[in-house]
Amino acid sequence: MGWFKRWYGANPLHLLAMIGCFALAWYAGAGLLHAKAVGVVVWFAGAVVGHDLILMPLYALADKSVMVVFRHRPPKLPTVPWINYLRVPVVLSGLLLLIWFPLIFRIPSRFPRTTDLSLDPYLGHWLVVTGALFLVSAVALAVRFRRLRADASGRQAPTRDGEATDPFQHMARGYPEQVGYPEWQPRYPEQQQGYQGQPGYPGQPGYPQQPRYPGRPGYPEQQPRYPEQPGYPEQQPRYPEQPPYPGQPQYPRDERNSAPPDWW
Amino acid sequence: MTGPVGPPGPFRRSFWRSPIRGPWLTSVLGLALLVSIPVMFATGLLSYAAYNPGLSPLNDETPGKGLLGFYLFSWPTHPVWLYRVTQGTHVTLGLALVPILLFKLWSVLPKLFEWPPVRSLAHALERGSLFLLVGGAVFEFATGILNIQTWYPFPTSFYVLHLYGAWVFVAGFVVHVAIKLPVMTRALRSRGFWRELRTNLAQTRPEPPDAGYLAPVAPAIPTISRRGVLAFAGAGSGLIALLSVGQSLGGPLRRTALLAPHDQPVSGPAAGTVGDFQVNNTARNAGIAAAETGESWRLTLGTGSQFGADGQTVKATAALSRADLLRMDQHTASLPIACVEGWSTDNQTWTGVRLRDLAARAGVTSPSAVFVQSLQHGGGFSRAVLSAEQIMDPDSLLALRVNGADLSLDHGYPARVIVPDNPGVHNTKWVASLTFGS
Repeated sequence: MGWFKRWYGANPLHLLAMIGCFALAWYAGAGLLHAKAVGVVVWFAGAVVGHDLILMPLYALADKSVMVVFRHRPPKLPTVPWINYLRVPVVLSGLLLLIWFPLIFRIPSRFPRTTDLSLDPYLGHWLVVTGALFLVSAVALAVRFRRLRADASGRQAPTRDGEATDPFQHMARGYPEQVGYPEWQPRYPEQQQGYQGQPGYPGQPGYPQQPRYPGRPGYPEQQPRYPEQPGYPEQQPRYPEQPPYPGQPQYPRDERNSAPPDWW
Repeated sequence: MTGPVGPPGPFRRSFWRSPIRGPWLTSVLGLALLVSIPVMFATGLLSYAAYNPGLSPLNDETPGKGLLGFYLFSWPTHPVWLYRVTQGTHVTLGLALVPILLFKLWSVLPKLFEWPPVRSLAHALERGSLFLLVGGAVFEFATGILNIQTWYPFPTSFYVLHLYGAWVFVAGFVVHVAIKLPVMTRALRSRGFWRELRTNLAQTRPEPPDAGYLAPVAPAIPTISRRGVLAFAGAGSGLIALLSVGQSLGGPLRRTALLAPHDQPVSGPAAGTVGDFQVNNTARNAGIAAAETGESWRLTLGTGSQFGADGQTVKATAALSRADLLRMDQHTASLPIACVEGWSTDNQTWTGVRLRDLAARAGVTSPSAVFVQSLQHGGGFSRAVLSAEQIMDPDSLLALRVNGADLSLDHGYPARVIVPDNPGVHNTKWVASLTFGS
């Protein structure tokens, strides 16, 4: 059996299952292709491409953009992981639109003629549901803020060695959108060399001797950039249970303040 | 874990940073689909059987099905809510599964960019079967969802696409389950389900990088917990179901289906009358002229054989006016209308002549089938063939009245067929002739 596994890459049962799968798909697919081959193939491949290569990247990009745009605003209020209060209503409303867009956008169809029902109400219904979702989300976020604030003012500021500390200190780290969250950390060796604050051009006093760009003679040996490359430096510990995690308490001591809302 | 490094971008594992992606989350979403997809498939196959496609080519929307019709059986007439429940489940569950499917596909997206793209023959075949699985899933959901909104941008008949597409999808599904079941079981055991539900955002940690390419090697800080993602997907399913199930439950709950095609009370002349329940083919759409349904209308009874096939024979034996029909024994049955599109009505009280009495009147004592022809001019479902079991049911009627009043034109005046558990389109309206096979 060893030779088979080497040649095929899995055990013979795997091959049998695959043959069965493609035989059935071929048999059923013949019925489809017989009907209108090109159109059906376009629909089938379009389903995969449309979802995996268009819909998903758009969603990820939108999510990322929102995070980046809002992260740099100076927060006046104690911050909470607010992104989900935006994500949830947007995605739920988007799902409804994805399913019912022919009704919502009143795409001409047989519907009004065959049922004597109107296409008019659906846009309004969708907007009302969307509005309700955002309202519920906004109320939930407001409640969350309120609880945080009440908690902070009702509690004696904890002291350490007799020194008063910031009541929101426990919130200081842990989430990218929180105050004091480290914005950027050098991940690659060539970044760590950091030319910031140094003269920008050769010839200026104090310009480093070392060449600045990879590929120039004398530039230090290229280091592996990705975790899967051999020789990539050990990952920095990111979580408290990973030794050697830096000593300072980065995670909230009081769970009430950091826990997601109860309905989560 | 280490392997050849792909070109920059999504082909590198470090590109995928979501700290909650991982085999456990994928397996929980997969488990939900593993339970639901067989229900979808079974209710879909039942709906195909409900058309009795084996009875006559006239009933068969997919004549090329061949062996795929192996399971067909004579569709029963009881319990009378059967088709209402199976098809309501098929459509509402299908809608509710959309978020679960999308979240599941999101959770496995890095695998699309696996590097190297092909490791072995086995790997290549498996990825091919995933094309059937993902393509089939999105194709089936898309065709089904567009069909219930009666928008048909498809290249060919919905029935053809949805039936054959389902078998292609199931081929990919079965083999995917067979291969991934052990992986799924292992992943589910790797983290306690209840413990994960008690884990808040602050405690959320990435799953360790796995051989399956799902968990991140360079995770970002989490912004949502795993239980948050599950609640998110569940909330999506619940919301979609809540906003559409009313069209299948009917009654006052119909108004709660804010986003579903049959959420509105009937408008027009029927509004507020005893006949104001949903239709899916108006007389206007069917091209029924008032003159055809007036005094001159006659129901032609006949005998024949081989309906819809080459050797079809039809012999007329009687012609009855509506008054003649009203003079025959009248029977009342309480039956719903249930559409293949998932909507249905409450039980309506139908009054008319039993089909088996009409068979006797045509001169056939034990009919093998009946060929029902409508006045409709062209279009799908202007005719249907019903089985012996359906004819002989005491509740199977050629209805003349509904809820105590004459049928309205949209409900099939002067006479329509109503058979328990029959898909809506086979309850032919504006009946012109009934030809019984002997």
